[in-house]
Amino acid sequence: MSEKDVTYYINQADQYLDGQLDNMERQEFENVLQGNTDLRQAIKKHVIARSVINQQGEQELKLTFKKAFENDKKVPTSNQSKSTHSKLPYLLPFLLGLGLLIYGWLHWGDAFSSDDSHEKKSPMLIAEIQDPTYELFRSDATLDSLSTLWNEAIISFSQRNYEEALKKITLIETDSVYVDNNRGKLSLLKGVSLLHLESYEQSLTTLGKISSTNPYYDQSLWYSSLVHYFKEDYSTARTTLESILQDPDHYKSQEAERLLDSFKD
Amino acid sequence: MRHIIKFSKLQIADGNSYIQCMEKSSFTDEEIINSIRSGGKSYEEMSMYLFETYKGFISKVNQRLHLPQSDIEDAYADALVKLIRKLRDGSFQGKSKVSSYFYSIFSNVGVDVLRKNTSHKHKPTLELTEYDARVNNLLHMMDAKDQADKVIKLMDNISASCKQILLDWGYFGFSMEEIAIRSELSGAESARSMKYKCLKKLKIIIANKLGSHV
Repeated sequence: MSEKDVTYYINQADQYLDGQLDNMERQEFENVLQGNTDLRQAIKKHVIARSVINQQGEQELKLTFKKAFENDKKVPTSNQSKSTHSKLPYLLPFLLGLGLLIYGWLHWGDAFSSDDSHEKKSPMLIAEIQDPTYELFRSDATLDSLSTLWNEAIISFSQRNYEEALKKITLIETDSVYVDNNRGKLSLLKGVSLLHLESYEQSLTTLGKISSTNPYYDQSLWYSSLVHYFKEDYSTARTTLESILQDPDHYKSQEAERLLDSFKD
Repeated sequence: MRHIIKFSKLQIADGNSYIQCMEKSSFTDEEIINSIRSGGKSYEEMSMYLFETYKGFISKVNQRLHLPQSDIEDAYADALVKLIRKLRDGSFQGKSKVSSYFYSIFSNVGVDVLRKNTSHKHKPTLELTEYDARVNNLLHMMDAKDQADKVIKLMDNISASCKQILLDWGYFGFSMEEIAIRSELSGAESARSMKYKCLKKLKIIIANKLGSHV
């Protein structure tokens, strides 16, 4: 077998190892190996070399992770520093929580989709169904425009355009009746938007308007704890998280536990 | 707070610097797998993304195992390496979510560490003889697994620059253009030539170690 052929099959071996051969090519390659002792020897050396490289690569990767842990420890803890970077490792759970909230808004209405009059499910409609008072307002023509505004607010929110979502909510808030009857979801959307915009005090005031009997209270409690966390009022954040843990059925009990654990580090 | 949403910066291991890493806040399983299999920069970035994302499992697993912090971190790093290997070599078939799959791996590695601690056998938790499924397949096919087991640490015997080039090519999956930039070579052709020479050196070292067996 010529050196050119050997080079060709070594390239094939690399493609095999990198998962670039389809089933047929793989089988052909394996058959060639079985039938040619010289080639088999050359490929054997190559595969052993690749296995050494792989092993070393995994060791390097593990070392990278271990160093990352070390760096986490070197970065001042949240109680000692104003740096926002030190919070980054804890951010994903919050983000996931927010994603779930949005997802929930957009999909909870699936359970109500048997209503034939709703040919096309809209995020607004799905979200509104969650609010028991909404149906009362739907019959009021003056509230249609508010419903549209609310729909737009949700869309802006889901697009992470929090400034725009707040503008819509400000317009909605001109109707005190609507506000009184939709305080939970309005305050939640506004409070979370303000949280994103780092208006922590306003966010807390807004979330605080959701009473403990409101169905949105559990979300309010969770996001309030995040506001305290991000305004670096760790003591209150801890207290709020602990109150979440008092309720084993709270939808964020696991996340609250994790966040509380992070305070111990 | 916008930094939460973008989650654009992740701490990396080579010092206290931060890199622009992931513009997206979260990834689907398909995106995770594709990034790992693509190799190169996306592989590196996704590895660190997974490291940050699954950290929440540490306290959960350790509630059960009560391992010392350094041991649970070691187990976590090992489990991530295993996860990445399995995503890469196709062992993960998508029957569960990647996160659930990882949790199961991490949990098992944690139990292994606990067993070793209990029996006072302080061995490294990463089994050095665990191979990528495709490497394993070819090694078995050529009855070369025992030989491969004997040479696992041989890369320490080649120069740092060669080691970097071989790892970038053979493990991290960077392209020759990227390797040229990372190793400050004149171009892809030069990188290819260096890779060839370095691989040849490694094969000689392996042959010397294994004697007449290869």
